[in-house]
Amino acid sequence: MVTLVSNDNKKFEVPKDVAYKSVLIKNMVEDIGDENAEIPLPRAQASVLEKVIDYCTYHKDDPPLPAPVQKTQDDQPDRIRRTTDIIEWDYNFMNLENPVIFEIMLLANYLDIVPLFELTCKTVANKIKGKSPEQLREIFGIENDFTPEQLDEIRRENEWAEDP
Amino acid sequence: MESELEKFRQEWRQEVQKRAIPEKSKINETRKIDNLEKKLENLPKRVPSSLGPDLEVFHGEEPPTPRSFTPEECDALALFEAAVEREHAGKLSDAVVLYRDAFRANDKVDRLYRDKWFSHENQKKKNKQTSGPMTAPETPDEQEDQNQDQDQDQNQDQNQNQDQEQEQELETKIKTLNLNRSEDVLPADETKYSPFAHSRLPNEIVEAILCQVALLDPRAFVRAQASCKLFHRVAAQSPHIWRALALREYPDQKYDSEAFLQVYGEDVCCKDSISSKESAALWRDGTKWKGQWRAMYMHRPRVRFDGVYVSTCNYVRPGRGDGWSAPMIMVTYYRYLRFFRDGAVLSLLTTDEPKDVVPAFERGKIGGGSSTVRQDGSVFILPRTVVGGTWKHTDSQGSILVHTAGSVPEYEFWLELQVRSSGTRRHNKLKWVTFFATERMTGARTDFGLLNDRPYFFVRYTW
Repeated sequence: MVTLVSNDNKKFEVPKDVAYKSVLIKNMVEDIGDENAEIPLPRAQASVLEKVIDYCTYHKDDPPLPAPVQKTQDDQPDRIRRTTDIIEWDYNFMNLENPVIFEIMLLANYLDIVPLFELTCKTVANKIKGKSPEQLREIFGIENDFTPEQLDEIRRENEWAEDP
Repeated sequence: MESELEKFRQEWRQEVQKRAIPEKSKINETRKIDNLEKKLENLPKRVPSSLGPDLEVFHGEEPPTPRSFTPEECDALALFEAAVEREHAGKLSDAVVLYRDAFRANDKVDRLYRDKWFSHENQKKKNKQTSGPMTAPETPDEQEDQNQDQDQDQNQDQNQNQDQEQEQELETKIKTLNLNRSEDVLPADETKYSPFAHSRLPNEIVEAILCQVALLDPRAFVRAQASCKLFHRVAAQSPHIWRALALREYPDQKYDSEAFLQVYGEDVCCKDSISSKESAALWRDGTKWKGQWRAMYMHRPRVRFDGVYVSTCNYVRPGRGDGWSAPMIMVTYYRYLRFFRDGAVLSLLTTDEPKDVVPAFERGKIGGGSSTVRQDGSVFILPRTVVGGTWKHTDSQGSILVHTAGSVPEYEFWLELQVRSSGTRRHNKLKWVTFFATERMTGARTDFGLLNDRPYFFVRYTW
């Protein structure tokens, strides 16, 4: 068992194979050389960490990503193409408010859990797809920080993509 | 009655007071520092340097500051102050831009500003409060989280345990306070709410999101750029995303050996990895893209797989009739071509309209015959003349050779086409070069005239 400590001092006892879904934690434990040591995660809120552990628990038996694909940035598009579809469990898991999704995304990035990070990115990407810029701003609380002239210019430079 | 009312009033004031300035427990304090550090790490570090002189002019005298600010907070404050100055000068649009930058640098900058410039008005009151829950200067809450409510509950419990004396003290203080003060302080709920908070996402994460959007639907990726500057900047500056887009399309272009040589050069073998092949194409001499993935995506000819190419042909022929009253008949027919990533192609010549044909024009529909129900309930049957075939590039300039079965088994059809970009769109037009049939047995070639045939134009469709 590996003990993870969130920034609000909550402790989570997690089986090794679950914790090792995080490359960061795996490296830390191996560096420390003591599998029973407590791993402090000052960037992890307990509520978010709990979600991430849920994910890792469900996916603990997934085959690891093929090493060369994971290491070299070169073949990333191949991997992305293979995993475009989101499985049902993941889809339900990601049925969360946007701010929570972003917290998970940040934490997955920090903990280096590549599949979870990609899942959050895909989830957000799906929310972005099919929306007009105005709708996007509304949904995500983004402000329009362009001048009308800048917007015109962007529209012109992006016309190529608007096929019938 | 009077006294009861007075009692209620006191209780209410106490309640307001506690909410306004919650005492921070020790754990809360350390967590706050952690959060602050975390937040500062994520802060975009950009402050327009052009603001310097303005600030000096306007803020010559520094007021007594009740607390010190971190450099990051100072940056945010500088932006905010510049914004205030512009606003006073009537330059509202400038001010809005600066306010926005200031809030992006620190989303509590308005409170910092209040602390810096207006807190001395309350200084006297604060000085009195050397003990009790109000000793801590009113630092703005840098970061709220879900535990905030819980903490507040704890605080309130603690407060309730405080002795009578302190309550009395509080009460007198409250009486000296302007009651509006408590309204000035934002309720906890409001500070907690950050719907998207994307401005604190590092660029690399925004890039990862936009990359997924691009792979999902390039059009959505392009549209998202128009929503805010952050997205636009990341999209424009990310070769990674354009590379991913290019690597999604070009490895599936089919080249004959001559075209392969022209596109990739002599040093590349077809067994090389996708990325090394496409990188070779990216850096080929004499290309328009000169190592730019985006430019390659825009300019290197490719056929598209996310829709159908449709050629609409009209011609007029005289109808049957006598003399001057003979009607003219306007004939419209369509040619359809759909390319697949595995080198297959579907082709159809018919008078059926795109709204019927395109949705039904799917892989494996060679020989047609499948029926689909239209919205009005009528049935559309895909013509039996759908033929299959193969396609490939014959040079690096967008020449395509499509080879299909003929309308009768004795013949095969060959279409030489040229990929073009028409108007502002990209790779959306196939221009006719030649169209001929060969007899299967003899190989004899018959050229068709292209008098009535019009170019194919691309129509996007998601099956």
